[in-house]
Amino acid sequence: MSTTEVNRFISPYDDPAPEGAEGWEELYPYYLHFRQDRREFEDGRFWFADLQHWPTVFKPFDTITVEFAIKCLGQYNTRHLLIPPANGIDYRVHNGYVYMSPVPVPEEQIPERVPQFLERAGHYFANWSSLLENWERKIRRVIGDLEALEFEPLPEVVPLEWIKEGRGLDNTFALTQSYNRAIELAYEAFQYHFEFLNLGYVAYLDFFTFCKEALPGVADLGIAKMVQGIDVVLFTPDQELRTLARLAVELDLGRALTEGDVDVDRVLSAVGLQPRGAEWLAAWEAAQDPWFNFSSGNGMYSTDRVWLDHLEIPLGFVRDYVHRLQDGEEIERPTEQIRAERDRITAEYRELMPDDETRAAFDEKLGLSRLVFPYVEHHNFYIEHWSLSVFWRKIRRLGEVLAQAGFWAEPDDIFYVRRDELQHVIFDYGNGWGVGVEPMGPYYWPAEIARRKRILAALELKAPVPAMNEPPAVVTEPFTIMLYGITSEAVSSWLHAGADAGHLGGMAASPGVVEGVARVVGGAEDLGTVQEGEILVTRITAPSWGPIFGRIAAAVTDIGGMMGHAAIVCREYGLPAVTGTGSATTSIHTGQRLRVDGNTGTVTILD
Amino acid sequence: VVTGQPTSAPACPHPELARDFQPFDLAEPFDFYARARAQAPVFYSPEIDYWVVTRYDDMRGIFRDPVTFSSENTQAPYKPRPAEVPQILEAGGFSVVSGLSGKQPPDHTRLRGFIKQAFTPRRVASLEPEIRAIAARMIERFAGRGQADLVVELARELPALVIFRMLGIPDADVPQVKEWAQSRVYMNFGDRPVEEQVHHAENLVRYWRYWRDLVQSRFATPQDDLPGDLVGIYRQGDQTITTDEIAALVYGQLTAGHETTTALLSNGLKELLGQPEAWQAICRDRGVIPVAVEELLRVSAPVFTWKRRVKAPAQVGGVDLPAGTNLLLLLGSANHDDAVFENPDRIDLGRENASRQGIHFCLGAPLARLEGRVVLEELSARLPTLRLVPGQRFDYGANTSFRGPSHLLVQWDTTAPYRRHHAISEDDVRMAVVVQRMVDARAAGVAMTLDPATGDRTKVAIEASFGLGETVVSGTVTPDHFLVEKVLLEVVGSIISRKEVELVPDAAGRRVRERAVEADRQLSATLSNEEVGAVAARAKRAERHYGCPQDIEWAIDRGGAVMLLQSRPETVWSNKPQQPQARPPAATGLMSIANTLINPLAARRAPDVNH
Repeated sequence: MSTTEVNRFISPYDDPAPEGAEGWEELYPYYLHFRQDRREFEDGRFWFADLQHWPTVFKPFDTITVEFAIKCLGQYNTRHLLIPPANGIDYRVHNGYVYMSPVPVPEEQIPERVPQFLERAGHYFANWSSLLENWERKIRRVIGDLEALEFEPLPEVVPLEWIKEGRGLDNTFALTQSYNRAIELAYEAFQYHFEFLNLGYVAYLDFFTFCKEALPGVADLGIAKMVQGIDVVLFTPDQELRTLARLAVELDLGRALTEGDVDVDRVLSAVGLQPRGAEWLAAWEAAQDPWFNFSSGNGMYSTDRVWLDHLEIPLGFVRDYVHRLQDGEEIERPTEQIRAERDRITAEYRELMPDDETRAAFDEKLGLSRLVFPYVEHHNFYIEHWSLSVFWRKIRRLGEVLAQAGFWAEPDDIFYVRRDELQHVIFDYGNGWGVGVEPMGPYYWPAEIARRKRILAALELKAPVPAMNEPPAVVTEPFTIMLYGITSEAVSSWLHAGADAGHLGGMAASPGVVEGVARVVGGAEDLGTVQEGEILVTRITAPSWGPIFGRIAAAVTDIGGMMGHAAIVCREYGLPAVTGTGSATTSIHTGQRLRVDGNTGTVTILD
Repeated sequence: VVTGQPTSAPACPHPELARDFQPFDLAEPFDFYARARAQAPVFYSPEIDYWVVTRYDDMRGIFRDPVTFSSENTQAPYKPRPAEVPQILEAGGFSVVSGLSGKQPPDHTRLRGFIKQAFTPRRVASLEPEIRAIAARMIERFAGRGQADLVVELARELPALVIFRMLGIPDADVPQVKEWAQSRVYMNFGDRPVEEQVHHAENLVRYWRYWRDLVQSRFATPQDDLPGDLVGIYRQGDQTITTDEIAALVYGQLTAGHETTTALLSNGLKELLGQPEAWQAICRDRGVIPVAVEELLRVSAPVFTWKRRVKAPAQVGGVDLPAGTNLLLLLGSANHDDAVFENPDRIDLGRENASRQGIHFCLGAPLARLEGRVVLEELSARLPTLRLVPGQRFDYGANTSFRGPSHLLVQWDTTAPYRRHHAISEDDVRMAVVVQRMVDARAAGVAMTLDPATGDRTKVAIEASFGLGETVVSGTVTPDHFLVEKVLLEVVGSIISRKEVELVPDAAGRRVRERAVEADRQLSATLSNEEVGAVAARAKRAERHYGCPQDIEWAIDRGGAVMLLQSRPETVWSNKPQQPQARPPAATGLMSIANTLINPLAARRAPDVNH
């Protein structure tokens, strides 16, 4: 081949910080760094950026979500369920972005994990519904506990009743406790997050794999549609807004609700002045808990805007729905239609299955997937939206308290402080309060936060590299593929973007791979020159060229499609064909050796 | 103006032979020829006032004695022309009788010597690639159809295109020049009514002017063609001829190189296909094609008759002929003379060829032979099952010289390679005739209810182009390609190609017309996603109805309705003994889930991915 094969991504050690971001490492915990003294180990592994869940540069506090999530994901594979081939996913932060590296189970340990996996996973699959009810109780308790946390400025003096009841503790102790409790509860929420999730994916992966094998070429989307939940809690916040819109129209509040811009206070008072406005306002209030604990992001960042904290978002949606209702539109989600469509799709794929035995397996696996997979959508509301919305609100409240105490200017500045540093900050605050002096923080943090903001701004200017080091020959790790869509093809496309001399792409018109000598034929008058076993390279073929196909090893055309003549005849003769390459006759010379891959539609010039 | 003056006729000893002689009907003259050779090899035809010579040896003697037997009458009409004709010709400055064939020494020697300098073997040989390209292109147009008229679609056009190319006539002028050339043939060799002759005379005048202008233009702008070469030779100092004579030479070459070769190809192919064993021999071994061309020249001599005038009293075949006698030489008879050729009507690829000799030995013969060889090579390579359509009647244009059928209907088997590959004998093939209403298609194409590349039954593959679907099926356009997920009816892949032509019905003309697609439409998608879905849904319905994968043809009419034109079972993948991906028996239960995790799909597919 004429190009140098690129088969490695850059090493993190060769990918420097962008200008102005020097020293970014100290913004994140030490265990997230690519350490110089571990270079050999780290460079021996393949890392890919998880931009799907964490697409932007982390503020120092915000790595809490990736740390807790990925740690808990791993523990379920490694320690709870003993997923036979997969441990957790190792992760690092590099230049502000998180990189992942799945940890496989050594081949020889896989068999011994199987019985344990069968027992542990089997228990969950067998008792899915009752365990899930229990799960919901646990997560609601966590959310309740988070909601109960209070972060208040330190008072002038310890309350008199604490003295009288002989508590013997001060307000800084409570503040420290609340902070630690918030972190603990977030950690607990992420534990529960993965209690069912990995199994949901396991069942889905099994059904997916089964479908792909029984029916190669089945659309990923088609498999998803067969399994998708219909009455899903994740859709409830939106459903609540539609209900509020219908109520507004019923109560003749459409005009008051939609007039003017979305100034929440003004609109709500205008509604309140209407004869039946109070009725609607009560419904508006009632919907907020819990359904407005709904993030407009994925919940993983402190900056994600939550409906409850930004009422203009849900109110804007309600106004849109009111407009659509006034225009006579149907706004309800057509669940019956969706259900009927899901049934149709399932029936058609089922019919395409090769035999009854396969259909029986299809039914069983689809049944399990439909039972367990809805959790994947279900948990998302409880954890990412509800729990984390409350968590971020509480931490922001702490930021506000500390801003009032002079540690920084804005409540959100707290997210520029690492969660371990916050324990020092809280102690510093209490220390000054207890000693009766100024805390040190107000002297230290404003400048430090300004510096950190500059570093993050510099990191944001540089696009993350998609992956680092040498990729595996084949990506097989099921969670990597399932969760991240990282396949060999994807990795290859990152690697080879741009540099492609020596390759021609076209339609995979007739399957098979063959190597041979090219014979470029300008037209029918040159057909006599074609020798036995050569690869016919031509602009286009025609029905009258029939006899030539008995002589050639493969065909490559400039123009033509899947059902063009060359494609059809090559399929009849079992010869590989790549059609519609655009430029085969000008890029290839007679006598060159070629590889024609009719499976992928590529032609490679070998010399 | 010189015309052939009839001489006083000697008494004819064979009135019944003369009565049966049909000089203008060349359809099936061979029985008559044989009779004449046996009964009266030289006889008088009062109808044309010519003595007719039929035997090979007599003719050979005549050709070898150009002093006694002059060619001055070759381009003269058989019958006196109506008075209007010479007037028209004279008024039009038509000063020529013949380029070369009607000239006598020393003029002939001078002119032939001049043109020979340009008409070199090199120029002829250099035309081969071009001739081959023209032949291949013409065959290409009908090769996929299974039947054609080889005269109309090949033999009539090809020699003309070749000679036009050689003479430097721009493509745009070709139809006009051909009409004029036809007028010349009718004028000189035909027997036409007066009013028609007037029309042809007018054409002849225009024709002559065209040539004079063409030669003049080569003086202004030299060009690499025969007129250009002749003008070049003239300018380099060989001014033994006049510029009008150059024009006349060029003009003469057109007919010489055109009508004769058309006759050779039409008639030769008719004879050759009439003797299938000879055709099969050619298909088996293309090395015999040069011999075959010679045999065709003999069996179906392109110039079937020719003329001479007796200049001094002479004896031919025992008949004494006075000076001034006009002779009609039946070359077609000489070449079938069983005194010379054993089994004269048979094409014998082992026959020692009898060469024709004489000073008028055709200058363009190497060109005609070359064209004959190339056409036979291309046809035998591409359409080995070529055969005559049975029961057709051959119609010959009414003239005495250029014998060739006006139509030659042939057919061949476009599915032969397919049948051979699948070992389907010809006897197992049945045919049906389907009559359908013609759809005024805005777009049309084909669809298969599986992906023909992989056999994947979850896809519907669609190819579409503008107009009728013929362009898609025949491969004259690169169609748009759409791959649709069959269950979801989602377009999962589409490739939009440049579609330069479309076929549209021409109701008034009761035919289909190919026209260029406007530039701004060429790269636009033939179908919207909704239409792709509608075509796929139609294909799905056909599959459901027949219970197996289908290969359909469809069209969308101007009103947007999707029509199913044809549905037949898909044959490639459906006939494979095993589905493309053999699977282990479907496993169930928790262990199958563990197995899925341990042997993920990507690892099982690794060989594909990691090629």
